[in-house]
Amino acid sequence: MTIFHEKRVVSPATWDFDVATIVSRLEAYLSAQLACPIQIEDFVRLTGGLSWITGIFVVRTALPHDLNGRVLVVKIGSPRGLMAPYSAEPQAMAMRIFADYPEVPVPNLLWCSDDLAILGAPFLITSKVEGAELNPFVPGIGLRNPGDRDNIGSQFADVLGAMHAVDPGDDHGQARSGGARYCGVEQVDSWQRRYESWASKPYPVIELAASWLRRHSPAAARVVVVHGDYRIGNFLVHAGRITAVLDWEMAHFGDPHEDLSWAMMPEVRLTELISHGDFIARYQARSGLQVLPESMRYYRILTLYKLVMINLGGIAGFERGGQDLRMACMGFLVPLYLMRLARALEEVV
Amino acid sequence: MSNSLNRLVNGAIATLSHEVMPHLSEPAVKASAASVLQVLNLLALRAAWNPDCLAAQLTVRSRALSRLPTLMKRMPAIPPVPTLRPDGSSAALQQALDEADAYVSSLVRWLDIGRIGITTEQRTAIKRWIAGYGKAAASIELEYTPRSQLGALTDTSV
Repeated sequence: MTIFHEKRVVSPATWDFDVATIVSRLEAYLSAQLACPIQIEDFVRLTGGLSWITGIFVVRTALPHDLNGRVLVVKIGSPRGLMAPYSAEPQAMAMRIFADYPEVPVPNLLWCSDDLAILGAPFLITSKVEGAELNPFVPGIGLRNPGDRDNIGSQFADVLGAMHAVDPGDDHGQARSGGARYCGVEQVDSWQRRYESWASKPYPVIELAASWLRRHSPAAARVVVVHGDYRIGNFLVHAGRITAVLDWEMAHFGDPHEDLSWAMMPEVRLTELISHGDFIARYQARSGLQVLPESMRYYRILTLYKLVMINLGGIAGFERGGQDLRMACMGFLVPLYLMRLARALEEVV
Repeated sequence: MSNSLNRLVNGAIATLSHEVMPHLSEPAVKASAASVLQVLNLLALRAAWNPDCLAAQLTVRSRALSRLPTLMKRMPAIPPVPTLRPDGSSAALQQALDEADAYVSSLVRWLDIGRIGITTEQRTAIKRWIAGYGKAAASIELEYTPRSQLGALTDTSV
């Protein structure tokens, strides 16, 4: 018997798909993959994020199988999500690369596909990792045991350092293409493409930022897998340990300073775990990379530019039919970040 | 810098009626929610953006644009500053706002092409002016924007 539970729902509006349909498609897909009939039990949807839809479920196999009774996680890139259209590939790429590096804990990737015929949207299915997320947007960041603060803060730096110490290899994109690589330009080009489809009118500060960022990108000292959203809120904590880094949807090859600057932006409250000075020191020791002040200055502006873009994406997604009213509320942040971006640009242009 | 009013009100109606109300069990709370829904339905039929808000935004932009001719003295072939004189309707005000922003955005592209005859100092001055224009535009927009409640929007604690 298939049982549906919908508990702890914060905003079910993020669920663009009918739950019963998703479960039935998941059952068909997994039955084919495992070559035996399966049923899904205890389907729970989690809606903390504004982007990919996440569901947790138990697999019951009709025949003896390693996965029988296992709790799995499905992530679905809804076409109405914040940064749609999505591909499962960036997350899958990162999980595959780091699967061999226990110092960068990631969920175990079981299946993924961008084939819309399977679930109706790109998806990933992974193992479930024990732990709970922190919330950087509330005072105290949701840390249940304040005694864990220093330990988690140190690990947060160590995990990023370990992540950036990994050579993604020649077979993962053009990480080691010859000559200097100006990763900032690549990022701006990528975000400007989104901007052109999202914005219904020009934004002078965005145009100025894009122009400045394209002209001043430092050459990357090392091209690494950049998480793209590495911050408090995007990892799981269990028993005082970081058990998994999550939400790799913005992962790409890039300059390590991009993740550093993102993790240190004031709104994600890194200093509730570790001081910026200690964070940089531990990161440098673990990664073997020297953090460059000029690169940090550049990536702080890229961070503000990305913040404007992401929240602009909320407005665009909701205007185009997104059902999650929280996306519209994200638009309230656009003038705040435009203000900060304009101030930062005034100092550097 | 926000969703259209129509989309916001209809989104709020959909959220309340399909996502919130089915989960309400206390009769008094259900009745309160139903009354909010009725008010939203009225707003969907009658409300429009307050032209005062748009007019204030346009005033800020016009003031900034008025400083540009002095800044642009002795610069060759700079695109002329648009004249913004909308009637008081929300639609005309919005169009004028967009026209002003489009003009300032075009200045960025104009500078990017690599103009001959503009000194580095002149280029820097215009870029700083653009940043200042953006700051002023964002500042007035913030005065008409409620504070974000991102913590509440992302809180999954039970």
